[in-house]
Amino acid sequence: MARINDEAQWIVLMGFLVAVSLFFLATIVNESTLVGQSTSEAVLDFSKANVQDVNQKTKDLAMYPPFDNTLVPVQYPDIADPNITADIEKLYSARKGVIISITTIGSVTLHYNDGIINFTAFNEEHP
Amino acid sequence: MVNDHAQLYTIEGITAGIIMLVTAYLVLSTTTVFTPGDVHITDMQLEQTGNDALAMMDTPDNFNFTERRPNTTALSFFIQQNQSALFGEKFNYFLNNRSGSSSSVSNSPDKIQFNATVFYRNATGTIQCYHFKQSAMMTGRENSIRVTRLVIVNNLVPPNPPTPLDRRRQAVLVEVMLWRG
Amino acid sequence: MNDDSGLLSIDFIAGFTIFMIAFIMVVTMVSGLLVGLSSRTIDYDALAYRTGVILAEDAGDPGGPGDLKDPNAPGWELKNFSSTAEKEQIIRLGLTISKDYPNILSPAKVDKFFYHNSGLADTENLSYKQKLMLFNFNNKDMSSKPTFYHFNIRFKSLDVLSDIPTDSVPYNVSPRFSTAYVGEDDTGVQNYGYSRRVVKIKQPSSMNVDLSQPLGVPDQKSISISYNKTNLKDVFPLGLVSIDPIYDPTAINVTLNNTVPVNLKSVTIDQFFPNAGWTSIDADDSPIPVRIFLNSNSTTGTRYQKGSLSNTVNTRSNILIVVDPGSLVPTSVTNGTQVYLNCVFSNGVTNRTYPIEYYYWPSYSSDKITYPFLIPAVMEVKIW
Repeated sequence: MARINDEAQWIVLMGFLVAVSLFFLATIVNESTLVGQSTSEAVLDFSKANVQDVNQKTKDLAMYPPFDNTLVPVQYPDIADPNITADIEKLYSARKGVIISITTIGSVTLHYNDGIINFTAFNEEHP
Repeated sequence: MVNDHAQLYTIEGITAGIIMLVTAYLVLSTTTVFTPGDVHITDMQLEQTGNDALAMMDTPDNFNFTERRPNTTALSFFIQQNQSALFGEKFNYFLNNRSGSSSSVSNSPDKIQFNATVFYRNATGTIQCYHFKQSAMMTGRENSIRVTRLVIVNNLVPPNPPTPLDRRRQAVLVEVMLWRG
Repeated sequence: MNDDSGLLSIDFIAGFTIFMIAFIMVVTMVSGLLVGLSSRTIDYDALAYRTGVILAEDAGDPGGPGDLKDPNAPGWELKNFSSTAEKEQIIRLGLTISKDYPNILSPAKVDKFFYHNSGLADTENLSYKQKLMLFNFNNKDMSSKPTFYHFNIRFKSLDVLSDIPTDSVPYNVSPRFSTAYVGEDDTGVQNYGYSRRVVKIKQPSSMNVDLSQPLGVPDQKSISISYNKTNLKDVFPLGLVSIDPIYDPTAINVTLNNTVPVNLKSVTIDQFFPNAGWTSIDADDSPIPVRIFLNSNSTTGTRYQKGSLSNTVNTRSNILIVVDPGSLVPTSVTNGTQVYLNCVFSNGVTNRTYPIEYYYWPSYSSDKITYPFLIPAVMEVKIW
């Protein structure tokens, strides 16, 4: 074979090197993309408002209504009404993907689980 | 005779140079790039303000010692009495007011739109809903978020205009979609 | 041998192909490269969110022994900001009445944060920045000085505030809405992180006592106001409606029966301390003396000073006493039984011999109490 003409390969090689280095640089600097996205995703995933709402409402519903001796029979707190607790459980399950369980044996117990937050709260105010 | 042995080298050199320069120019000069993270930031701000507005509307201003807990709040009153116009006005008041002084630009109200729906459980146990209040039409292209609040409604005496709720004390879920309009 | 026939050599094609592959890869990566340049804005939004949460959902952390008489006195709003030592004790600022009540702000804290903040608002607002975590260390070992962010926190109440008069906002407002900000001026700032919180601010309770219809001759020269923890904070420990004279302002409006103008001679506070027992001090020696309103035209109310009011004739038919947070020493009402505020006049003003009790359920028909209530407000945080 005749002698291969390779004088021009230096130039292409230099250009190739520069392109590779730019590619390398871009990969490193690319890490900073995720800063804002992760923070806001974390905030959106942790549903603080849901927990505050359910907790507060359960505490309120467990309070005995003000005593009124003209009423017969004696009024019980709303938490004793199975329809209302079923409302809350079914609504949260269907619309928000949260599993809630409110039990009133002894003290009022609230279980909350939405996959990210999972807690149980006891309310001692209701005998 | 002109020696044109160098033409190929020149072409390659110029090509390599042009490509490197164009790459560097693109890297340093482009200013508008769609970043998927941006949408989440505005969602977070909108959800925070929306949750606050709904929660404050659901906080009683005066504690009523003779009333069953939870006390009547602006939100529970409007849902129970089915007053959608008053609800819209009050929610807008909480949602869009800014804090600037009377002469500054930042005093102009914000432009967050909302669409409220009430979800309830009917006698057969299925979840139904009825539309409550809409402040502006959605075109379907807005980034919207959803905030919710539980409301206890005493529907033993139904309101006028009537709602599809059963005639009992029940818990309903008020869902509000929010977007910037 | 050079070929000038125009045919591309394999060498050129090979080099050019490698070049194009690299070029396409770089262009694909360009979008990632550029996002790095705008990440500072995203960081500010997260910081503004966090600052909004600290202010609207946290009660703050006073740190250190707060009060010389009560080492465990909570509440950063009761600290003396002009004393550097006390100011340094504050670990974190927060505005809520307690951590169990997010978005419900304490009026004393809002006052100290936005309005009467002369101790906190030092050069470059460093105290604010340190106590709101608005700084960032540049290198990981925290050895260098941190960089502080700029901030502007603006507050505005959306409804008219309680009409207990004061020498400035927030208790009494003219014009109707009050607005205030701390931090730097934000006109012209382009890239900032933003967070808006909607809150409710607790308004102070007040009491009206009508002594103008005495059953006999008004010969008592002094009136005594008592605060009893069992009848106040313990009745409703709930933050929303609790009346806590240590942390919330209280006002007593007493309608006197004085057909003859009288001078106010002295105001003393009798307090009970666990180790020292009952102590009587002049109200002037309180950390924050009570405010007395005597003149009918006065909208400011004079802070009581020993001997200063003895010549001031009471031209109103009533006397308004405002007990601000900081007037009563925490131990006396928290742990003890009662605190008595005694006002002595030059002539007889009433014939009631028993104290006027600031009581959750007033037992006398002439005593009417206004319970604490809430009004909405909005707070905007900008960080850059």
